[in-house]
Amino acid sequence: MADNASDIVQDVGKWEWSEMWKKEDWWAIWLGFIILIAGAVIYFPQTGELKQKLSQIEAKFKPDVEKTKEFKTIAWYQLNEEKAKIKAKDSSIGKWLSKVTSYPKGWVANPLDTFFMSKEKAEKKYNKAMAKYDETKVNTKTALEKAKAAELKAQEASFKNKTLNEEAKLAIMNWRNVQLKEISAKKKVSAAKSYNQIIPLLGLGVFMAIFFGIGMKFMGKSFKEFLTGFSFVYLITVLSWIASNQATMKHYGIGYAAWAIFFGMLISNTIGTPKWAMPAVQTEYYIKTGLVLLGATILFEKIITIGTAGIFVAWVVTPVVWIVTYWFGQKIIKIPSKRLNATICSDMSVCGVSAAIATAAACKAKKEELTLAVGLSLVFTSVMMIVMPAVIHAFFPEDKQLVLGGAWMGGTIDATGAVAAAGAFLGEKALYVAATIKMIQNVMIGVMAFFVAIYFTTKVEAAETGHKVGLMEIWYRFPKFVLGFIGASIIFSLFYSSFQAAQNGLGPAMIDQGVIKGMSDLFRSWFFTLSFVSIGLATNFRELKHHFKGGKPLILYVFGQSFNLALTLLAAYVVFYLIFPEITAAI
Amino acid sequence: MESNKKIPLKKSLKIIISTFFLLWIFAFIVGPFGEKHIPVFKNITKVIEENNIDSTAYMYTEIEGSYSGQKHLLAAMEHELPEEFGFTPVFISGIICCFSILALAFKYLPMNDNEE
Repeated sequence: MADNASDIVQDVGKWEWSEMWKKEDWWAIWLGFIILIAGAVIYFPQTGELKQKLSQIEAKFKPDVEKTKEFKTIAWYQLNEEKAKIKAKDSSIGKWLSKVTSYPKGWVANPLDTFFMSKEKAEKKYNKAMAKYDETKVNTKTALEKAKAAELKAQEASFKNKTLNEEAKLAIMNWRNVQLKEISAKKKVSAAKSYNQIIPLLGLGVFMAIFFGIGMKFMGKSFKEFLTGFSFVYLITVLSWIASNQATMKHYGIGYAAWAIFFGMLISNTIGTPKWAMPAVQTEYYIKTGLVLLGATILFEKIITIGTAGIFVAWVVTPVVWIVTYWFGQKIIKIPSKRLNATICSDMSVCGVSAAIATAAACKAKKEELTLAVGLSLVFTSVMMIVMPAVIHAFFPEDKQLVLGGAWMGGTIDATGAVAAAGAFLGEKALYVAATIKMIQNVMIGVMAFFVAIYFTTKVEAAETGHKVGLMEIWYRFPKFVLGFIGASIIFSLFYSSFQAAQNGLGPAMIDQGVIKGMSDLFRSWFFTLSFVSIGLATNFRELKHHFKGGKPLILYVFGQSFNLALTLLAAYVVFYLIFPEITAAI
Repeated sequence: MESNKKIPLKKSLKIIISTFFLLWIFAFIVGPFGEKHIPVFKNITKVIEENNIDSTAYMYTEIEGSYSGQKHLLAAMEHELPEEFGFTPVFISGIICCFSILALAFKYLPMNDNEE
């Protein structure tokens, strides 16, 4: 993003190798890759052991899975449930990493619950959860017996009797719905443990201070001053997570980004950000490191999940919406800042906060522009999470609510969490379709960030300086962290595909549930929170108001999102029901 | 960058305390009232609690439903539509469409100077 001290682009293209240990962009790449490599070193050695487990599970269930293609058998669901349990991060070191990097816990009325749960309280919670789990186990057993009986009847007719097949399908669906409740109840039993978060949080703070401080030292800044300032920034970061994990705030979808900016701005615009904290107010440094970690989650193979229908809804509609909204912003409402325009287009059309962060960094937007874009996204996300399921429920034909409704919500609601909540409200299938469409859109972040970086470096900055830029100038101005972002994406996409093909489908276990959830994800949101706190601590209300002049960002967002809603619904209907109805039937 | 303290300390502290008080009102009175009395919201809250969904998550990696959905849909596609699964020509045409749209945008997006 643009440095406060130099808002005007300087035409001084000059590459020096020392940049690779003196510049922030490169340090973001090194630090990000240190974490990713550590994840690979920790989890990849488990390949042999997990491959064997997977083979055993497949051998156990495959015969019953393959006995018919008329419907998904009980064994099909059991196979997928068992495969989902194989996770590289379930190793002892994975569990330890998860424990020492965990966020303040959820709380309802007593904020101390975020740090402590006594053994007595945990036991009470455990007993309550266990009672519920026992109840669901009984229901699941009953439903499974009925489903087995129905499947057996259908099997006895060689799966040729349509009525018996439909009855079996329905009985299995009923069992599945009950089983999902049992799985959810079991998770609550596992979570009912006593904890003390103070030492892990302190330890994590020290680790991150040193982790980022080393880079600061190489960049010519004072290590000691950074450590001192970091204590303040980290304190506000923890406070942001405490607020985010309060039950009511979670229900309204008000997450850490909003709280980090809010608390940061509250401090900076009242008592003022302490001068000794300023060395650690490093928005771009934290955000770029987080983005390199985010790159590892952009796995290209995921885009095939829902087939051709998914790619047209997520990868064709999205750039159309982005471009039309950008054009509208430039030509019709004449937004002064192209960077603000681009950032809002990304957060509205791609996938909310993550896309806004990547785009803002790629086009060097100002921190106030990112704040505005994120703020607009969060407000509308909360509204859409509540309104869209109600609209689908009230107006969509019943046979179209799950797939069409799920695709519509997945392609339009900005935040994945809100998408999941809205999808789950309609049903399991809607949740799966909505979350998958959103996941495919998440993968688009890489494409859009690269496009924006190239566009702004070669066209916008050239126009701003008044002359064409050569290749060396493009290289000099190109935000280097994007290389780390794209590099992490390509490397881990190759690893994922390799594990899928050569290691018997171990991609999810080793990459998703290993390097990503067992390493990258443990730190990424912390880094983004540090960044948003830094934005808040360095933002003046007056500067923010200036960017909102005339309400143009709001008009842009509303126009773009309205167009997005219309086009996504049309595209989803056409691809899922007119062009590829067989995909819809298969889901 | 310098600290941008402009308001007197007493007033600043009053603003901070009032803000936290308003947050408390929202968290424990207004928010729960809305959850209970807006019908659809009440049901969504129930779904969030029952399914343990993190409705504040920003990336698919933070939601269990993404992974379950991916597994379920991939298995369904492999099982029932193996010939249409994967990087088929039609699928690749979707990716080409995406890049073509971006290429056109690169060439034709407006370069207005709207600076005030």
